[in-house]
Amino acid sequence: MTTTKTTIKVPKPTAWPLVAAFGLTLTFAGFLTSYLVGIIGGILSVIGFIGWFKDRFPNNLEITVEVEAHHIPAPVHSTKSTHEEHPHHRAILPLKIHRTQSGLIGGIAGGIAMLIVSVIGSFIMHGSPWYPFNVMSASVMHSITEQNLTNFNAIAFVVALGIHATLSIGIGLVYGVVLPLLPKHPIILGALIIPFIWSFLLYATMNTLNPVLNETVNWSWFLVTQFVFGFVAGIVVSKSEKIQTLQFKAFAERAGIETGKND
Amino acid sequence: MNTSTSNTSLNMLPPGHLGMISVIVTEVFFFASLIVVYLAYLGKSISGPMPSDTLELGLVSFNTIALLASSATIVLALKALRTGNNVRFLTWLLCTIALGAWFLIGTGIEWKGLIVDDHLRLQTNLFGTTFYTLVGFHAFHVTFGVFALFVIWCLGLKGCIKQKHHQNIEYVSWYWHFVDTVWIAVFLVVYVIGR
Amino acid sequence: MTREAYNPLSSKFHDWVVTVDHKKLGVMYIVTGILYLIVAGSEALMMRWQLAIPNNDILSPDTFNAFFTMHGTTMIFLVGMPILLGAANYFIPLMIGARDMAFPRLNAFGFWLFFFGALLLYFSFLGGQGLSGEEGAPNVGWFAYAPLTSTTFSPGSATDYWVISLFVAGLGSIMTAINLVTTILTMRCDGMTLMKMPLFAWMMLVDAALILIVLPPLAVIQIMLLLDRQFGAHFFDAQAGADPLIWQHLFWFFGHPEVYILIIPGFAYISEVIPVFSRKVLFGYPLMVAATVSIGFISLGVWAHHMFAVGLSPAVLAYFSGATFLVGVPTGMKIFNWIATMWGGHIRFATPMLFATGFVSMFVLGGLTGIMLAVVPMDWQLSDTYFVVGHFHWVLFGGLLFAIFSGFFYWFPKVTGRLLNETLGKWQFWFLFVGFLVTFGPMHMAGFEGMPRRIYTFMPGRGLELWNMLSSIGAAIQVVGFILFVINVFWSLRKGKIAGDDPWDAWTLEWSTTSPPPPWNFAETPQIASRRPLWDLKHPDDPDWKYE
Repeated sequence: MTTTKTTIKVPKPTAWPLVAAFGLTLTFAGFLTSYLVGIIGGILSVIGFIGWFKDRFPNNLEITVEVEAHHIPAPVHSTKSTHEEHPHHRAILPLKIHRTQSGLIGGIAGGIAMLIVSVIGSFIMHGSPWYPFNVMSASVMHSITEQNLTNFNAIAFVVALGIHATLSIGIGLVYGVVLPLLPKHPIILGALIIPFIWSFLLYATMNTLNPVLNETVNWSWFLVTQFVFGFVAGIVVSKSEKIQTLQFKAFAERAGIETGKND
Repeated sequence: MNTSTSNTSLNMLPPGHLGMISVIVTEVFFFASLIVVYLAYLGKSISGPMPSDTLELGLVSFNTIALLASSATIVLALKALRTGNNVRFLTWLLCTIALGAWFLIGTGIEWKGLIVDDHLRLQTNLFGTTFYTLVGFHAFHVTFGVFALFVIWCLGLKGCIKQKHHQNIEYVSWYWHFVDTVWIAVFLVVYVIGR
Repeated sequence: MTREAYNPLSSKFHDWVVTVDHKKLGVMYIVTGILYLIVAGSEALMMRWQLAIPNNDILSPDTFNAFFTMHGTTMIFLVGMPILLGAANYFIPLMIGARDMAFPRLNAFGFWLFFFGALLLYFSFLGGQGLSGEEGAPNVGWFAYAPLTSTTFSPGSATDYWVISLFVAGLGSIMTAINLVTTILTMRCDGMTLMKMPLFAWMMLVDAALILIVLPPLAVIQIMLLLDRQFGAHFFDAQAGADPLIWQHLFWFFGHPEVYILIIPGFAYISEVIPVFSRKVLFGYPLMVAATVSIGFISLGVWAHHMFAVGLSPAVLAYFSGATFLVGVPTGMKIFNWIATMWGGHIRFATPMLFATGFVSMFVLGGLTGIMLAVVPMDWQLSDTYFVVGHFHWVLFGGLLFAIFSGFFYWFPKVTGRLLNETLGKWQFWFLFVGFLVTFGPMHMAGFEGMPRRIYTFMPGRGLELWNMLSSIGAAIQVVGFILFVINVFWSLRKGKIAGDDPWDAWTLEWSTTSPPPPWNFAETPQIASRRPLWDLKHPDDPDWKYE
């Protein structure tokens, strides 16, 4: 603490803006009550604005304050910061991520595993392998009804396979990005938490969105197939190698304008 | 408190600049909304009188010239104030006020003609509603500007306006230029496109 | 003039009334906002009581209409706006190292316009009957669609009260926005280039600019409505050839950016809290600035997504739907930046951080239901149902209110010199969080089941009983949270732990002065070299400015 005396000018407190604001409000309130209120408001606001103007002209009214203590905040010792542990403490992201291909492969592997389990389940419960294909394509195809769910339908088969492949690969790619979120237990995230969340969301909303489709789904078996997908895709993704991100490279290099060293 | 080894002093604009620019930005959107409504309701009136029956270009052209000329005179007034020539400043300022007043009186005459001869009021039809609102709000802004300039002129006569105040007077002149610019837009919309 | 005379807690009424100090005005804004929060919250509580069971008769239909109108109007204009303007008033000069706002008297003028405008709105309960004596408070909904507001359908002067009080309060907001823009652009301390400002200042700059752009159109339609009602003009009179949709277009040109005006300050508080409680630099500062500015721009071009159900042409529908999706991009950037800031940090779950994480998670969900509503067919199905009510409460309660509480717990020690009680704060968070989920989650389901908004009661046997009962129970749970908050504030003002200058080990300039700050803020105006001047001061061996 050093004590140096300095003087500071602060504007003088004034009630004129308040008077002007009150007058203006009354002026408008005059529309609603009586002209008298409006006139009083008008007069008040004019008085307020004149008073305000006189505060500013010819001289800006100020009061001078003498400040004694030169306040310097006591140097606080940081409780904790990430700064000691990482060399680049100012920007920490996952320093390493999975390659895009590993998400792709994980999605395909999970999709195949899920397909096998679903078809087995369909054999056991409905005596036909085509049940899951028909149910899945029913969300877009009108020709599928509750009666012909166990029959083979070539179009339904192709459509269902397409939807399944797209979703599997899409979710696999998402896995490639999000599994490092839980760095120590990627499998728990991929095989349990994420499938549980989306299964629950689907279960909760399906009755409202499409009650007929909801009737045809066996939800406990559905959950099993989701876990199988998550488990296989999770293992494939999290076992794949990780690569360094480009976050500490120069912009030109990240944008692909210049090439750095190959890695 | 100084936490750096090198001090960078920033060159920032005076607050009045930004304050006045903000006021003008907000006013631009105010008039833009009025103009949009005017254009949206153009030709939608169910009953007459219509713009083509009532609006004349003669008087309003004179008004327009007066208002545009006032933008030039206020520039000359400011120039005189900066060089410290108080008499010239007050003369040009008075010219500006007179031109502004001319515009207002001209608008009044035009409105009288519309109301008395053409029976066009705010309540008559959609054209009357939008016309009087748009032109009226502009005229209100001109009135406010003339009033502000008049206050400055009175203070100048008392010798209270010094060379050091030129910055503040310049802000008033920005407002005046803005009101002029709005009139160009209103003129184009109401008297050129809308007729 | 001694320093004691400026102590905000012991100074007299007179000092507050005549003050032009940005800090006192800020406190008055926020206190007024919280008082109206209690009022509007009570109105909501009455409505939930009425809707708890079918065919209830706690509130008459007319009272219900007045209550939802006043609840919405109050929450937007008398709670959200003053709290965000008050916080900006208080902290912008402190954060940018200035002694006061650029125009201190204009600042006072803006506050008092808001204050008296707000009083006028609530005076309508007493004076709103007008000549016909039919109604009290405004009851035309917070967006007051034409032609419901014409004198034919809304006699009396209740609607005029709505128009005039909001016009006056809006004038005050414009004054304060002018002041904020000017202060941020011209009053920064030495060394604080635009890209070294705290993000709070950046976001409030965009916010104030939005206020300048969108409040004038609101003022224009309010004037037009007043001319219609009082002077016989025909702006919204379809019989004279007018198009009542003009009201909707101009209202939503104001109304949609208005919700961004409300939520961007929420982003601002979060962007200050998360780095400090994660002990890390905010990730992607330039990207945050860019995202904020682009949200500001995009928000000006999406208004008609509130009007999908009025019969717009397919091209217009496609444009506004697409533009609305586009908002998700910069907003998503922000979410990722906040998460990346927390990533790998030493997170301290003090109450401000609890509310901040609550904000991030709930805001994502609220944003997702917003994206759902941006899909035109979905919107046709759900327009004006409780799904929409659930959606915007998710954003404004789970988003904005949580952010406000986060900021309140964070800056309360700076303003009063005492910390709020952490235990009570955590209980408050969990009561509010659970109450929030239980109240507004079921509203989405009620909306799916087809429950329209703004109805004073509903019939039994249509699948709505459970959802409405749950919502009402949730409202009761929230009440406990709010009571804990009030108790906490009063208790902490007297007995709270003394905070000291810098209780959270933070990095921005407001923590470098005393708590509460003196009227002149800084005895010596600061000079800074990086975005985190206090880090530089505390760690001279490893200053930030070497990296920026």
